[in-house]
Amino acid sequence: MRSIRRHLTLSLLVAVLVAMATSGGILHARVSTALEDQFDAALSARVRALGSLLEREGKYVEFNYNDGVMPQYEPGPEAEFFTLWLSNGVEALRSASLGEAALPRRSGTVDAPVFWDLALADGRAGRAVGIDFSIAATAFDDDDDDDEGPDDDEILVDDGEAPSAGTAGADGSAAPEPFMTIVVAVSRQPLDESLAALMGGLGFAALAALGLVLWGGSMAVGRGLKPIDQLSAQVSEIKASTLSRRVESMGVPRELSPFAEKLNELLGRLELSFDKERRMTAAMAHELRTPIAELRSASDVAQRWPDDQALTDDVVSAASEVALRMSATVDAVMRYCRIEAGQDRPEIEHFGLRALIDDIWRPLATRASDRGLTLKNEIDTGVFLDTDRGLLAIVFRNLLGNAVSFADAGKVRIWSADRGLALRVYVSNATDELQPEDVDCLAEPFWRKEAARTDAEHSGLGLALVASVTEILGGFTTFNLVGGELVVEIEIPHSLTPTAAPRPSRVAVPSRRAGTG
Amino acid sequence: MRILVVEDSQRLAQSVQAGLRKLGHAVDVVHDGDQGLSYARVNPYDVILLDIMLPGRDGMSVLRELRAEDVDTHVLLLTAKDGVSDRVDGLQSGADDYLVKPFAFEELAARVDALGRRVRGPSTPVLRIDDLVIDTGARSVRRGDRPLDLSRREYALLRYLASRLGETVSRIEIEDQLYDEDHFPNSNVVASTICSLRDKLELDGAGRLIHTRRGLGYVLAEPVH
Repeated sequence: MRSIRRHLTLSLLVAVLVAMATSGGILHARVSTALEDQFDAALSARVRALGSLLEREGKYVEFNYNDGVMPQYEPGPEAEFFTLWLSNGVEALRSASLGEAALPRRSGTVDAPVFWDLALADGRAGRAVGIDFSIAATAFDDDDDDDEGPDDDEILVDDGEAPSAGTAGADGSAAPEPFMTIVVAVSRQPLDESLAALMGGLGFAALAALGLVLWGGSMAVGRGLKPIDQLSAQVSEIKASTLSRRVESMGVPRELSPFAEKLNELLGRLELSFDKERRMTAAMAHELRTPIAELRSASDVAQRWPDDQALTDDVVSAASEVALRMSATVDAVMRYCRIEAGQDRPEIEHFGLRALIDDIWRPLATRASDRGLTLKNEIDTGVFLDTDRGLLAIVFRNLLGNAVSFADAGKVRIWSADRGLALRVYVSNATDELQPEDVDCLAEPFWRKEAARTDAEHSGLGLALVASVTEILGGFTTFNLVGGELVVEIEIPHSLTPTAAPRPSRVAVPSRRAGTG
Repeated sequence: MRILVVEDSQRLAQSVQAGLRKLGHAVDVVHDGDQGLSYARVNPYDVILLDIMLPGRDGMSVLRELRAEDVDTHVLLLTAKDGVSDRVDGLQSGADDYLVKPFAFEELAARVDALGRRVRGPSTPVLRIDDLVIDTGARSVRRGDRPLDLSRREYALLRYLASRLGETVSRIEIEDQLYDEDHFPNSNVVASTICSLRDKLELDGAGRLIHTRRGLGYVLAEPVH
């Protein structure tokens, strides 16, 4: 399962790692370069120091090297190395530390020495620098000793063919200025140690920072998510039996406030829905108790006196009658549940409302007449609807059926009024049974004015179905008691588009007005 | 006992009436609250079985009305309402007992008997007069060691006389107790039942227990030796 805490911590960690890697890389590169520059500068200083020992003596160059002053060029574990070449590439001198080994000859100018890494004669990793030092003769050169041959520390630069400084060549071009190449090589160990220390420091700093980020980030994320944890704890305490509870929205961070509000709205709807389901279940259980009691009592008595054929016949008769009644109740409940669940979807057709009402009234007419009731259908023949005829028939069949069963003698009147996009249909009948407080209960499943439950003809779901079906048809139902008359007001759209047909709300039907409105 | 059943379900009322009659009770049945109130006011019932949800006047209203009129007939409420508050309401309104539908007929009969014993006196289910033993729990009667095979009507008559042991009970009172509205007897039926009951009680020369008080009625008492 995804975890916001883990996600945030990991994201933070990755971000910090990337930032640290970038900054560490830049830092490492800058410091390494600085260290190498510093190292190279020291190396350069060494070679320059050797270069400064060169002194032109006519045809010779004196190299005032004293191994006592520069013991680093003597053989030893920490030895450094150098080699001098004449400009013609002939090696002129090398440090004692080199022994038989050789240094490669590469060189730059004094201003731009050439540095490179190499393996030292003793196998250590080293770094070398090479510079060509000019040894042009000057006017102040003392040539007195030229004919005496070189001393021990003098090097023959030119065997007589090389021109002096400033002397032109035979072709008139300036002759190349004589120079000597000095290459100095030293161990890289101090540089490598410094670079390793730098790398180690950066690594340690990275690890420490990583730990800190993990700890601090986790703490910060935890603190940031605390309101969610608190919200979650509150929500987890809400059970089906405690739907009246609400989450505390005071003190909730701004980001979570809409969530808390929506959650409370949802809980409100759930509470209403659960309450309705509970009432429905209780009413249904209540509804089934009496027929079960009838069956059980009859069978108990028959079992007690098995020889009494009349009692046995009574059980058989009761079983059949009770089964039919319970089946009718269950059918009504199933129909109601299907409609409530939105499983009966509207099928749109074009039809006249007046004709529909007449069709519904026809089978009711005889019973209505027996009870002194007549229908006054005032709906104009020109009133047509584009909606589900079958579902609308359920609405009026229940309304007119109820009127025939319960209305006082007189007229059942039905008329309509155009409301723009919708049609409002009114059904009224006289009643002295209903009280104003009863109106709120009319759309409640299983509600009956008479509490007695032995009315086999009526399931007590009729008006609840009216409210639900009207809602499916995109309208609403209102019950009013006006001057001893029950007036049921149905508003439905003239034309219902299937996609616009709303699914029925699972929320309890509000008092008096039922439907989405 | 004479029992009134006020129950709107005709089928339930019918089976309860049939069962209780089989047990020797006189049972009247009405199907709405107004009728129930009228019957309870007029007739001397021992027990009223009263449904709560009734057409017209509901059972609770009937019960309150009866108690307000000092009618102290024992009332057993029969209802589909099984909530604690419903039971409490019923009992606090003056009901003596409460039975939730659906119920076992045996349980209903036992509760009716228990209420009847409250009316008739002894709380013990066994009545003894000399060597006559009436076990109201088992609905059996024996004289000494000899079990008696009584008809339903004979048993009901004997039990009613036993409940008023030593008292002279008039023929009218017996008719009221033993016969409901549907079986109202002529004057000879009580005398005939007394006669057949005596024959069974006095078989093998046992002493007479049911004595005639000429012009007054009958009394159940120990034999005069």
